[in-house]
Amino acid sequence: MSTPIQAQLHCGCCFIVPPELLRELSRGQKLSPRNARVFQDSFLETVRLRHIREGHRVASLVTRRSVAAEAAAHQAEQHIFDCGHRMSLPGKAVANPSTGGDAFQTVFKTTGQVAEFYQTVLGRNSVDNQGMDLVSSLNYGQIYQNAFWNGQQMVYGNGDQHIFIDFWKSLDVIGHELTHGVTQNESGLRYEGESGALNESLSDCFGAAFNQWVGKAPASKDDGWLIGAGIMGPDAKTKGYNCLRDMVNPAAQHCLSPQPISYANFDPTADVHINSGIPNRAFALFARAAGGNSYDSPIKLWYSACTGGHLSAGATFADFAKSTLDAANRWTGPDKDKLAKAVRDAWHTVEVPLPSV
Amino acid sequence: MRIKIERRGGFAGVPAVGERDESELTAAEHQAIRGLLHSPPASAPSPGADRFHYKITVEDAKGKRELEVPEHAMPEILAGIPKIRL
Repeated sequence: MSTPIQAQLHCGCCFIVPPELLRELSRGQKLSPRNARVFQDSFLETVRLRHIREGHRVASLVTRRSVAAEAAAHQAEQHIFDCGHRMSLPGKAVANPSTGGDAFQTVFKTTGQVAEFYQTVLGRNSVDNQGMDLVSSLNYGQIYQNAFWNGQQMVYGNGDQHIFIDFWKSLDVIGHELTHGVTQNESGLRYEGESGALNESLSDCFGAAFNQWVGKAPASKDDGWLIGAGIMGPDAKTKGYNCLRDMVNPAAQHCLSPQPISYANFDPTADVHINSGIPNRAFALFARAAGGNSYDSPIKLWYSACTGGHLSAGATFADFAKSTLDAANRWTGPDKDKLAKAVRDAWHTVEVPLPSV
Repeated sequence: MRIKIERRGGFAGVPAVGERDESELTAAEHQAIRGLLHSPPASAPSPGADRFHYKITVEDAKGKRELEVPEHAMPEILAGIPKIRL
């Protein structure tokens, strides 16, 4: 049991009097033997607790390192399900998706490519960066004109075969949906207002970059910036719509879902898929000005802005623009100045305010 | 009674709309509408991203009522009523 003096000297976990001072006090010539022993015992106790704490610290480091290494080493597995046109998830498991028919094979292959894109280009291990398994359900609902991320998995409808064909037929759609999972695990951008439009934009940006990466297409090529080009049905094409969205020219007449081209046209009442055109255009302009491929420095810089730890769930366009500029300032490559200027110019063109230099 | 169902959201972000007079509703559709009016669902959005969201407007002798229905709470039989107009 602690003596009154010991109780004042430490509380068992932290020390009011530095241990070195306790040692000096224990050696004081004017102390009674009893009080000298109290100080000496207190000093020895602090040393013992210090060693215990250090042991715990080292043990936790070893554990943390091994958990991180285990997560980095874990490879995501894929699971494909068939909803059979019902709206019940995940549906019936497809035993051999790599040989299970065109739709299952394509989704299996493309989803694997998205995971490979994240791994090789961005150094990310799956949706959660810890090798989370990738789950996809096909044939969802009757004439279901949509694809979505439900918080845990990707889901694809077959469209009506007139306006839209099967939603898994566009590479960028699969990249888009998987990226919603990545955003959920990073900034968790709230799905409303500017943060919601940013959430949507990031899925389009990474979806488009993935599409261009697969096709080895440079940023200068217009087709690589079309979102949903592969799912447009015959009726939509007949009317002149060759995509849902065009990241370079969001208001173009060939878009079935035209979008505003600058922040001056931001519509606070619009769906998040409308206002996403503004940051979409910023990324496309930035990538083109940077030169080369969007899937090299441009998407890496955008990824750094998303994962740098400073992007909040309620981020505005201006907050994200600042995050991209911060990422450019952190850039260590020889093209740092060029990238920083391209970032600044892109946000300036779409009229999103940036902090002054 | 006349109903109007508006859909927004989804990956495409293209709105869709559909309207029906009471005489055009099947018994199952009618029952689904009555169920929603009797127990309106919470309007909180469905989890995840790219989900649909519906607004149902019902006009009858009692007046005009509007319901916000997230995709997960939308009866499947009513979800097919809104169509995209090219």
